[in-house]
Amino acid sequence: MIDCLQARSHLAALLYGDLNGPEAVTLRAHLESCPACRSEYATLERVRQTLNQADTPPVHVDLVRLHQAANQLQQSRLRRWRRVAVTAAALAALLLLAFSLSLEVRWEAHQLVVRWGHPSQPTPAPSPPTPTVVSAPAGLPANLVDDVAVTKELVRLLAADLASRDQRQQQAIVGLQLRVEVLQRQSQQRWAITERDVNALYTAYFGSKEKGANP
Amino acid sequence: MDAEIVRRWQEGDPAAFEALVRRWQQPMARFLTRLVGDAEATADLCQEVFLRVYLAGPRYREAGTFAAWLYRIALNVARDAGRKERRHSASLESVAPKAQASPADHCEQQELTRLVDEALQTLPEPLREVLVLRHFENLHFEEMARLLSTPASTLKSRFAVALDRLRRTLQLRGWTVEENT
Repeated sequence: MIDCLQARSHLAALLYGDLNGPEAVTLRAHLESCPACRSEYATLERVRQTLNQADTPPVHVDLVRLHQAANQLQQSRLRRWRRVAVTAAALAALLLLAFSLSLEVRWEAHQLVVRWGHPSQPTPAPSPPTPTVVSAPAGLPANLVDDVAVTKELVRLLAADLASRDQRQQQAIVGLQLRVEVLQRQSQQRWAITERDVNALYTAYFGSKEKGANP
Repeated sequence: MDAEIVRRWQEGDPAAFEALVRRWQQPMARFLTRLVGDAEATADLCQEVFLRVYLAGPRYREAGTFAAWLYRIALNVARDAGRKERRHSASLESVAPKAQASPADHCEQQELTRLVDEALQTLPEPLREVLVLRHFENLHFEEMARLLSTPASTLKSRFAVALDRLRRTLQLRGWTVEENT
């Protein structure tokens, strides 16, 4: 058995068929014996009928307009992505240009030097560093003194190696520049020869060449 | 049937999309009209729903039913329209009254529809959504639970509350049980 409060909370479910069998049976039995709840149920039935009577305007989706709108949206998205892609590509190209052509990295006077611009003239190779005896700082144990000395020596050798690599790289760049110049001169010479041969052929075939004259 | 039409559409058949639109435009119109309460805006809202369907078509995967996916889109369109309407109303110093039916146009059917739509709009959005989905779209609570990401038991309670409030609002606006019998 259920009371009116429980019954009324389930009237909507009964009306719409959302109650399971036993619950529906119990509720119907209550409605048969309770005029107030029965009246409430009848009112909800009328509400449901009223909702069913509300009409809806007929609608016909305009497919032509839909396709036009879809096209416009897709084109504007494409334009946005293109702008993003072009900006990203431009940035990447700028970075690549900056870092691959003009950047100079060197180890100089115990510090890393980064420079922009053309590489400087090749400098004579530095003489290999002579090993020096490191005097032990006061108060350090003897084994640590040896370790410090070895570390310092390693750092010096590393710096020398970096400097000599840098010099070799600069020499290679200079060599490449010379090679490019040679190739440019050869190309110009070949072009001059070709132009001379063409003029000669023209003269041989058509006679002397005057400006504007027809063959 | 929807699954087959959607499959053909995704394979590039434009007639399949048209078939989907023709099949669902009136149910969407009914759903949106009841949810938004503005019959004049229904055509534009339907257009928006199917535009979003068209654009999202390539991404549609049959995790649930096509109908559930469509209702999700329509619900978002209705909620966006409701938000725009609230922003618009809040920005006006005096809110223009909705156009009333002229005496010439007045008829019982239109009056009833207007009464129902106004009463529905007095319900808070969560209650209105449940009522419209259960009564007008005949969605069961389990389907609704997936659509609204809310437990079915919660939705059942909301539905009972919504129906009761709607009844009170209709009665306050002059509706009686004996009318239209």
